[in-house]
Amino acid sequence: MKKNIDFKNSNYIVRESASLQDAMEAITANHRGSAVVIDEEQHVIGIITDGMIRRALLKGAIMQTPARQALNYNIIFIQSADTKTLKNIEKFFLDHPAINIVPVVDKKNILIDIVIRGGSYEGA
Amino acid sequence: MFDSKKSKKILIIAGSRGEYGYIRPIIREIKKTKDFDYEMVVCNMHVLDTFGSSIEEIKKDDVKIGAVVHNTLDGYNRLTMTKSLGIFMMELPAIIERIKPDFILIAGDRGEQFMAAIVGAHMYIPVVHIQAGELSGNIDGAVRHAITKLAHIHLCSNEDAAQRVGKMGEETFRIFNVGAPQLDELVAGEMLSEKEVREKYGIKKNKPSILLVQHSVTEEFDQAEKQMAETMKAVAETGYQTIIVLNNSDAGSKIMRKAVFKYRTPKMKIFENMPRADYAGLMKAAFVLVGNSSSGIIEAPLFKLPVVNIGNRQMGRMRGVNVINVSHNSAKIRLAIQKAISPKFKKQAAKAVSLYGDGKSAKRILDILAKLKIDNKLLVKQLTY
Repeated sequence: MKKNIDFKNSNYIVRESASLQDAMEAITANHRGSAVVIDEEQHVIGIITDGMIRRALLKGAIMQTPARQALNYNIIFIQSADTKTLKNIEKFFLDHPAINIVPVVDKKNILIDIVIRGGSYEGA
Repeated sequence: MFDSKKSKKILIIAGSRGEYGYIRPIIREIKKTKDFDYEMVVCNMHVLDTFGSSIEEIKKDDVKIGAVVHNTLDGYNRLTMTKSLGIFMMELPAIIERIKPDFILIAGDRGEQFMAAIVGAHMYIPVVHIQAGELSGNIDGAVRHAITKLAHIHLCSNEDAAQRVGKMGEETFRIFNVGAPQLDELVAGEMLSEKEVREKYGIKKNKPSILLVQHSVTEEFDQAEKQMAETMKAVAETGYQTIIVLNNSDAGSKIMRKAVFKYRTPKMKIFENMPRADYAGLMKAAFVLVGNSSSGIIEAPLFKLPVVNIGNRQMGRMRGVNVINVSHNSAKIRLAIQKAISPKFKKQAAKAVSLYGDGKSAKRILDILAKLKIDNKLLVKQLTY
């Protein structure tokens, strides 16, 4: 699978060093309630959601707190070699009703695509 | 002059997760008695992760926090680590002036504890050091023994350590073998049950599970990423369910994280920080502890937990028959993990005995402090040679 993500402009991606404000802006723009968090080398670190940001703020975080401190590391991701799941993505979303976006990673855990409920990634 | 009717105030320094395990049992014991009062100075990584982490755990325990010091600079290299210590040392004298403690209680071998020992010694306030005389395999080891030269009372967790403190020229009336207070809560059974742990952390019963905790070693800072990569590769190859607890804010911690996220598999769960009761429960539920945490040396024998101890960090410490030592090499680590979870080794680990006390240390420590007279004999140190 070829890398087809615009890392700089995607509203589905937040860097771990980005602030909660940045994360909130991305999530607001993408209308999916969550975003994928990556490190400088594009490894997937986790997911950050509306709810995680809200809970962090209630615990005393500020808008400038790094996203790294609010995210969930333990997420479901799909490996690019797992073509069975990727070909039948509707079934995946049926099996995982709480998930709206899923990172697709290569063997080295580098983000190469994001699958979105209700439509594939279009570099929004 | 010292007034015996008044309760004595102990100032406690807490900078990282590990130390809080030594400190909490003592705070519990202090709360039970009228002879003592305490305040805690919270600094370094406790306040770095401002929420969902260690300071939250401290607050939940209803601990009296006398001062919060934000001393740690971002960057996590040797320069920022050292400069951060300087900031802490600058802050502390004014805090001591305000709180006016009778004792300063420090624990272990970290830089903030060392700064507190320097400040206490210079301000002529008795410094009481928990975990004196142990060996740790890097700058921490040097710091621990430097603290010994400044501290007034040395509380050792085992006989070996007590003898070492004596050989450093410390007077015998200052040295006590009290055991390791972090065992107190474990012996008292304050931990999640195996069932609770399995549910909370999603660990399947009867399937091998790994608890992975690896810190960077300061002298081997430039190799930290590679060292973590070797461990991660080995653990990934086993295919076993794994709980990873991320490391401290040491130099090297950031680049070690990189290796974690590069080599992780869907079988691995990653946590920044976890309550001690959960960690203890995981030690009970896991098949093997992998990495270089001191918990593998000190706490693991209580759970008869097999340990794969990697590299030099715990070099020279007394260890039980439950520990397998291995170098930073993924093939060797993998073999050691396989050996550790074998039924044969499990039998061997079952024979491990705690070398670090019986879990009644906190009371012993307070009894020692209660009898202690704060006079020139205590405050003016003499060498025995």
